[in-house]
Amino acid sequence: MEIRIEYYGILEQVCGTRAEKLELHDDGQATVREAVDCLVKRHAGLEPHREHIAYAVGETLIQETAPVVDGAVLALLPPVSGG
Amino acid sequence: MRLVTEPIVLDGLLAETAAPEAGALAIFCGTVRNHNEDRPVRKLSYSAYEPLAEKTLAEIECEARDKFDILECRIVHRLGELKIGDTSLLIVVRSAHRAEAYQASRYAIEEVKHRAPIWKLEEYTDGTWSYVKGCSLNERHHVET
Repeated sequence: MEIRIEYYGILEQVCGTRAEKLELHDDGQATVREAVDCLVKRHAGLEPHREHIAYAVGETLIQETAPVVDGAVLALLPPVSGG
Repeated sequence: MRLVTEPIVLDGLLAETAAPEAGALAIFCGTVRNHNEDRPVRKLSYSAYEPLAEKTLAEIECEARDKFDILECRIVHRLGELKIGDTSLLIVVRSAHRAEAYQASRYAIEEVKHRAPIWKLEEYTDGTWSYVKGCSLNERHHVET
């Protein structure tokens, strides 16, 4: 299955792109953690940030253990600095 | 709309929140300063994960109304490129009495800084730039009120 990854804040700079596609195995067991494991292999610079990244689908924050489904758009959110 | 790319208009927020029961109006205005951590700043650029940022600002407004005896709380955050002195954020609180207005305003700005998925990119006068260190959305925080 295929999901779309969106990078925000400094992660766009770290990964060199605002968004990209990611292929995951299609057995219905894929989680955010697996997706991020793949992304860290693709972008080594993500690893130091991983501990502080939050994940969201739509307007909801989700945990690394959450499942991801085909066609999902997963947003990677680094520490925030609004205001 | 709580996220805007055009200058924030205070008059509009004042009109939206007008209430005859209110005896206090607290306005918090965040502005772009020309320095940060001893570095001279030339301009800022704000970006957001808009679906969650809009929802989070709305939640903070509701929480402020629930936690404090206030009549209105409105939060508007600017996105895009801002120059020194521009308004980045406005929080308008109306209440019957001043103490609650100050408390709710303080609560709202602290929650925005810790919870809203918005990022500040600073450009310095030497042409270099960096994202401002922020607060992880994975970490719980406590706001003194």
